[in-house]
Amino acid sequence: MNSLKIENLQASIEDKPILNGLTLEIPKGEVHAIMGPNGSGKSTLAKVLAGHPDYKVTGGTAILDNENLIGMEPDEISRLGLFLAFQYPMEVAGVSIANFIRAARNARLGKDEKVKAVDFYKELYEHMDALGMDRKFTSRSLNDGFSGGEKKRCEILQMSMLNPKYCILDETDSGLDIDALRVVSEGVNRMRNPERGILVITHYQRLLDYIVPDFVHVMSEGKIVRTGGKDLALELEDRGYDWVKQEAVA
Amino acid sequence: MSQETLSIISSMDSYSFKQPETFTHFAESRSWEPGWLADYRKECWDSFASLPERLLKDETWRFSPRARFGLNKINGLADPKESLIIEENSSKDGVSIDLFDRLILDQPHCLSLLPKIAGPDLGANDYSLLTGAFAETGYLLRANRSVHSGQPIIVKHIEPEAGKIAFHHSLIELEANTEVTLVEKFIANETNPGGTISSLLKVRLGDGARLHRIVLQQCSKSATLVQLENFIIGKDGYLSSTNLHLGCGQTRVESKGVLNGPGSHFEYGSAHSGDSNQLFDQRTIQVHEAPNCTSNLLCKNVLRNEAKSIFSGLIKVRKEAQHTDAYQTNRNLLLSSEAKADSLPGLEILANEVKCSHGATTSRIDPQELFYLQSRGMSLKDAEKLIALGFLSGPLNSVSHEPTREWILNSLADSLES
Ligand SMILES: Nc1ncnc2c1ncn2[C@@H]1O[C@H](COP(=O)(O)OP(=O)(O)OP(=O)(O)O)[C@@H](O)[C@H]1O
Ligand SMILES: [Mg+2]
Repeated sequence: MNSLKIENLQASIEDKPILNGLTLEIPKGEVHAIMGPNGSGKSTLAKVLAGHPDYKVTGGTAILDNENLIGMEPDEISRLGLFLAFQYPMEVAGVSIANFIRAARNARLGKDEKVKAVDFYKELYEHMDALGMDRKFTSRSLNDGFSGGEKKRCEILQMSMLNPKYCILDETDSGLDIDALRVVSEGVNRMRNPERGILVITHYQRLLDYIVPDFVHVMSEGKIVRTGGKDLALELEDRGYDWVKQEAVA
Repeated sequence: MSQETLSIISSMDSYSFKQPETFTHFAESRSWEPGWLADYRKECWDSFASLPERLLKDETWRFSPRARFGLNKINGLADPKESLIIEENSSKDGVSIDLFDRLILDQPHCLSLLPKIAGPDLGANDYSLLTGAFAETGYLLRANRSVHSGQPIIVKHIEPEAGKIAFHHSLIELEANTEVTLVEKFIANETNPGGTISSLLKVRLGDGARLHRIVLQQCSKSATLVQLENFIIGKDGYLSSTNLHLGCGQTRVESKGVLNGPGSHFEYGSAHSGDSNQLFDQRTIQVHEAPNCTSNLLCKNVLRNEAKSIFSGLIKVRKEAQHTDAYQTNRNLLLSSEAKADSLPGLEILANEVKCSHGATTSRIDPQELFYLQSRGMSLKDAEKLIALGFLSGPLNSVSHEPTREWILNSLADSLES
């Protein structure tokens, strides 16, 4: 009831199976991390949960609180409370960050309701200040010509403004400099609370020094092959993935 | 029934620009006008009457279903008093705007420049000549002293009722170093939509004069608009024309910008959102006659359903026009598989020290971009609208007067909403 519960999830793209019976539960109030080799299906998992139309779910369920996300439209899933911070955020030419987030907020209101501009900007500026983003960014078109780090900050800004129940952060740390990593992690930590579940996908143990996870999972070939505490990340940093894969096969 | 009534009825039944009586009757009704104007009307009429039958292969109408601009659906002239309105308090110190028909009575000499400046001459010569022959209204905007407040002067062109045509023959003359912002609105006929407006505008900017012109066209989806304009820009002059076309079943735009004095600049932006089977046919030419001039043109169309657009643009650089910087871009975004955009960009360069570029692209929305927006909670439709809004806002962003820019961007957002 109070978790994002993924069970035996199988998904493929162009008939190529990527997720092969993945099971994982993220209860509210917890932070889980997924690590795993390139191509193991981490981003695929994130996109399948967010309802990406290119992937075909061939089995399993993903229950957000008590609704199965599988088969839902991406916008429905978002409004239910799932937020995906993209590994590669898209550029949307001509649409300012402010107008974009405002449209996303309006989508959560009734047909004739609209967010109040004054309140909205106040809130937006608070979040931007906290993320160390120049207020000039509000009028720039979304991700258009943003540096890698700026794009990632902008994802976290959207996440804070949309107040999701479950957050998935796909390699939000990659491309960030040391200061940005700290600022962005603080932003994520501010969102940690008993009412929210968070899943971070990363390649680097360093991120998990800032966002300390309750559990670390290793993904390989479309499955979770090992679960441990935050120390597992340290061990992976030391030893790589081969031993996990071998133990998983054994 | 007497012979006379019969003939009146039959001539009313078949109002046609093909019959010489149509003009002779009209000219008789305007016999009080000054001689030079009567001569000009006659000259236009004669040229119209001797236009060759439509050519099979007419480059100036390439890709265009020209029949949609046919004159045969017209059964009479619109009432000039109802078809063009200048908003109150529009005249300011040093700047004046008046209606054509009032000036003919009071100070006809002001209009004497009308026959001397040509139309854009990019294909719709029938409309241009008929406007010369039949226009009973139009506006004259003049400035002789600059006290530019940025506050725009507002003119409204009103769509006539179905079957009627309104001819608007207008002139803008800005003296040296004056600056004016003009907003022209084309407004729908709510009660009996489907009329035609033929608007012919001639503009001459003196040295260092600046004109910011904004067009918002929101006619009904059954209206026809032929918008013809010729801008002549003097030394160090600046002219921007920013256009947002939302309505009309069919629109033909012909815009000519002539960089006539050194150091002048021409900025042209056009945004069009087309739906159902709207047709937007746009022809432009940037003529660089003098050295050290710049021109920049950006035309964007978003097309839904069976909407169609045609863009044909030419940059022409004369031999004398060294150090020209000229750009021309046409971008189209198709939101359905039936929508169609044709593009004909062109360059004709005779000078050797120039920087010119032209580009045209037609694309569809990237599904990954749509997914990104949807993943933030927007429905597919809202996501498309937001992308369309972002796409079309580019040409409108060049409006420098902020309240006017906001107003035009909001008009676009509202139209995408409905
Ligand atoms: N659109 C696609 N078409 C074909 N194959 C795809 C597509 N998207 C993903 N794949 C394949 O699915 C597999 C998993 O990709 P995914 O992006 O989920 O990996 P990842 O674990 O996120 O990798 P990384 O650590 O490099 O980000 C890869 O082999 C990839 O090539
Ligand atoms: Mg990935």
